[in-house]
Amino acid sequence: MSMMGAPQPEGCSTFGPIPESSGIRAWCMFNNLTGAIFIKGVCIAVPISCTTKQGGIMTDPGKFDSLGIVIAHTAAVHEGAQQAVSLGLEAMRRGKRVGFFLLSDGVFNAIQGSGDVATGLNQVISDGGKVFLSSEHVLAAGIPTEKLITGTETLEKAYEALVDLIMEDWDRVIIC
Amino acid sequence: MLEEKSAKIKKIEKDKTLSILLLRGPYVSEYAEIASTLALTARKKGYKVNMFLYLDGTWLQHIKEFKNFSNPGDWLKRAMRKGVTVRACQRCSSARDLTPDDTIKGIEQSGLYSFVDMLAESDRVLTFIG
Repeated sequence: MSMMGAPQPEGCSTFGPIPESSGIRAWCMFNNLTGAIFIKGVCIAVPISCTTKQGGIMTDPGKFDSLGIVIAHTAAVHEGAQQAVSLGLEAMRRGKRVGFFLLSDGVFNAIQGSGDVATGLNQVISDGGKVFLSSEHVLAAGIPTEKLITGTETLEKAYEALVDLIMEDWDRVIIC
Repeated sequence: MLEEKSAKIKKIEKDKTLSILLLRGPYVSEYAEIASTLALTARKKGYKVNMFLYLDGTWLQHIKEFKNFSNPGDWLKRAMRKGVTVRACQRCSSARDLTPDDTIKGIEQSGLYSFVDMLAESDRVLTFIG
């Protein structure tokens, strides 16, 4: 089924009509959680669990050049961090500019040799992507600078930097 | 003097809107705090900012009393004082027995269609879920 020209994503349990006057093309619910949201044919919000199920948000009709991924959890808490890195690497393979921003417990993923996520982030940097860290959270986590993945950029005033990236640099942003 | 101040405020206002959808309750993770802090920071930078509290995210509006430690309710109140528009899903609040007396003043209880209005005017949307 399609709604006002937007394709129904795989795994969509509800594909509800939205008044055309709102400018929203479709509203998709995945497992009764908020899912992909399309405005004027552009997918503007996709939770990570849906993006991986879809094989990447590049399957959505929206066009974008850059993708920002904010990670606030360790891989040990849930799979979001690992999925986010896989998604980021896939986006880079498809020619997108990708940046990661690690804050809160997410900074633990930036410890060199700490696991698959760290390996993936190393790959992101090697392939030309950016990995930013919140200085405040690195300090709070007690991570010595020399243990961080080479090439990560630790930022003071992290929230200000993050807002600049979200509003002025990245076309799409995923939080996980 | 007033005109000068008004011109200064106008100058820093940016013609972009950020909307934040929060689906996680406070303290279970740092999402509520991160979302509120981002809202406040973006507003201070001159962006128009909306927040919509949905599902367990509605618990954030319940942290209304003063506490002598940093807490996400305080960040939310600070964001609202700076002009962040905050709405909460009425059905979600009702399902959790969150009454207007239980919640931070100034948060509009509304339905998902109101969130759709927020989306329609947004340049960026952040979804805090999972």
